[in-house]
Amino acid sequence: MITEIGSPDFPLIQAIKSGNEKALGLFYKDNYGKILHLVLKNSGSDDDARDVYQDCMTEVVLQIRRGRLDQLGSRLSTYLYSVCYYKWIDRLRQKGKMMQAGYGDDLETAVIEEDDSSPYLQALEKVLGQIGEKCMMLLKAFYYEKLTMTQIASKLGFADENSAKSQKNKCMDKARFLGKNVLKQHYS
Amino acid sequence: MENEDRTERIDRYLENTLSPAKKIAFENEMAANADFRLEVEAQEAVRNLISSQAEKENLRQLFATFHAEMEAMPTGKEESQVNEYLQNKKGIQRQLQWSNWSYMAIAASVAILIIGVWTVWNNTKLTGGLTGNKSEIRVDERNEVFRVPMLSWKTEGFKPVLQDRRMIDVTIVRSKEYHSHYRFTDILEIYSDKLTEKQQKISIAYDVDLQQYRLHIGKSSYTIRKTEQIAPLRQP
Repeated sequence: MITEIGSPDFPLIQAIKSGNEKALGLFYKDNYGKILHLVLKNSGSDDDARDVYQDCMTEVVLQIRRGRLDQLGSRLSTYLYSVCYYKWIDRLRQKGKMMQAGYGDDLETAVIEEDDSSPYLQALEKVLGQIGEKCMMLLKAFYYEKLTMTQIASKLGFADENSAKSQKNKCMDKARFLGKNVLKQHYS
Repeated sequence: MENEDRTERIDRYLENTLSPAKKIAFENEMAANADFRLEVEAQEAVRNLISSQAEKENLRQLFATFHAEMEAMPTGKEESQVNEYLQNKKGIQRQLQWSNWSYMAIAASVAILIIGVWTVWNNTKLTGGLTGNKSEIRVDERNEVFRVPMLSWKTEGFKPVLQDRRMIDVTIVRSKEYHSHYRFTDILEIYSDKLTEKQQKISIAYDVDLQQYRLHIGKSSYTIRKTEQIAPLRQP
């Protein structure tokens, strides 16, 4: 349901979206109890609860950051619960166990399905490991942290920015080659 | 060298920073060469995947910290016991100011102000250390005593995994001789003229792999080690 005023948790969603860690921390801590309860009641352990909670919380935060929950019709906590609930059902299914009947009867929120688990991306993720840890760190520093070559050289121990840059390009060459092969298989 | 240029050229295309003429040439090349088009697509996918993995890693790290903070929260019972205890001893003690730590949810602990911080430090051996929950730290009015979380991390794969969480007693010492120093035994003494616990968030991280302690004060961080000597605080 999309209302004219948007989400009832609009301020919270905007705070998390803008990177407010305090708001995110409170939201995290406020909602863990319910998920712990759900998992413990359904053949899971404390560790299972933490794992599934952190996974679904990650998913929800990424959706918030990408603006996909700006118009969320329900409370954010209700939405989070639904995402965690379906995730936990999936894990139980994989283990061949069943959820207690009736437990999700009060779920009222539709969950946005993420498409980043496409077979192509999963295959790419697998082969990308072949470029090695140092290459991954380099590419991450350059493309995600957006560090300069000088910063990368000092952080990762290269002689100077030129050798960091040439290594970065070599790493991307390797990664692109691997990615291209995965794409070819995917298209054929 | 040609390949290096290729990586950067594709990056510039993906970031839309090629000149109009070069952009047209690039797109013509893609249209004519299916293999090149695949390379561009692959590089874009790799970039996106790396960013999304890094973003998830950062979130996991953050959540591990939240979780540790949550588990370190005092129960209501402990808190009320602490308050009762404090009321009984009113006058010679003050309750530590946890206000700016409220979301850090520090385990309840009490510090008692009496006389001379050195008295107790010198008696550490007799009293069996200062780390227990019930230990009392005697300080004079000029020194602050409080507890900070110490989180131990180990890197598994790419992500840091929390190994252990405990609270460490910290005191800030105003000294004539030392102005940016520390001594780290069972407790951590920070020698500083300006620092106060109320203004800066202080925590300690221990890297299990490197066996290194990192002291975080606000946005600064310092490498520290266990030492009986008073040592200067150095940024790595």
